[in-house]
Amino acid sequence: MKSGKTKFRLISMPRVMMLLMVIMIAVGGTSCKSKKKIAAEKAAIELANQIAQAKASLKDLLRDDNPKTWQEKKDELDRIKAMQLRDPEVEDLINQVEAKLEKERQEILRKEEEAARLKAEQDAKQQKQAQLDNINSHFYAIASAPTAAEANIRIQRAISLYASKDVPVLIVVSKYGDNQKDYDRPTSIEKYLNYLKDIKKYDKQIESVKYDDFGKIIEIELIKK
Amino acid sequence: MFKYKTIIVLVFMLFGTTTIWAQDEISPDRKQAIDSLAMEKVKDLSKYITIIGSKETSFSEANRVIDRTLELFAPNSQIGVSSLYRKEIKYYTVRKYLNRLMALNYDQVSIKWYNIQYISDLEPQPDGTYVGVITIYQRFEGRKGDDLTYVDTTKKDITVYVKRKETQIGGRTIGFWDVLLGDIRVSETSK
Repeated sequence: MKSGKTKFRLISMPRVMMLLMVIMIAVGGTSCKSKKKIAAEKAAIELANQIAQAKASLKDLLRDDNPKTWQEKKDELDRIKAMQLRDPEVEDLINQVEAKLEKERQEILRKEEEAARLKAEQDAKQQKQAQLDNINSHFYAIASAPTAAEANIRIQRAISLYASKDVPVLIVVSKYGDNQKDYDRPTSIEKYLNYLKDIKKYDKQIESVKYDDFGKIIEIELIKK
Repeated sequence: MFKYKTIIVLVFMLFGTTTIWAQDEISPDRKQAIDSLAMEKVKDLSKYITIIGSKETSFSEANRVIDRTLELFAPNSQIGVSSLYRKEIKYYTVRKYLNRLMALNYDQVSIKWYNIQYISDLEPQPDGTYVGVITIYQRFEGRKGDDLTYVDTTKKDITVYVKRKETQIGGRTIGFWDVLLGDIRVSETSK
């Protein structure tokens, strides 16, 4: 009986409770550790995937035949940089892509500047041509006037383009050597316009024109077509 | 007087040509341009004479054109005038000729020049002047009312002088060929 009692005492309730707690803690601790491990493994796999994807994207961005626009490439790079993947190869690729995008940006800027320069040149050329066309149209108008009176009216209109009626008119008769020119005897714009009225023919083209600060012609050079 | 001038010109042409070409050679293209320039001046003269002679031209316009015409000629140049009604050829200074032309006693005057061509090419002279002769045919018609009162055709020889000159324009030196017409001699007159 005594041994039975002793046995009973040994497996008394508090002890059982203690034992159960120890088992539970032991079991519970093992389970938590396992979950963390799994989570860590998952995170590691995910990170590895992200790194792999980042590398692929970065390598793609380094391709010369990448069809994306510069801004799309920049956005893609910024997205990858924001991931803050601490991988040496990724970081190296990021540096390469940054260098490439900077080079492309400089090229784009250069092209934009070139295009702007060309456009400005084209605009200036068109404006200059429009001015020449206007001057020529006055010459033709005078040469083709039906009467002397009408020609005189047209001469007055044409004269308004010039700083004065004495503006020199140079007529190139030939060019030789290093762009040296032979001229006819210089005349004034007033005399030249009257000449067109008398001869009724304008067969020259404008070689050069000089303007004053007010946009008035101060010298004009013509050459036979 | 004209005979002497022609002889002098021909002598210069014969003896001066090679010397000058050697001294100051100009390319055939430049020479061609000078030839054309001189020819153009003669054609301009043709237009001016037509304008001055026309009874439709106002007095002020005719006087303006006379001034322009005078600029084409070397000083003291003369123009010959012939007539079917007399043998001799009268010579007038350019201004007098043009004034007479403007005042011709017809209701309508038509003057046309044609067959304008060099009969003596521009050749360099010892002083650097190029001299040549251009011939033209002039058809003159004078009307009173509807009647063709007078008509003739004259062949005229025009001496042409071309000299290289320089002037200052806008602060730079411009080299130009100054073309001046000399005497106009009547060589034939026919109906």
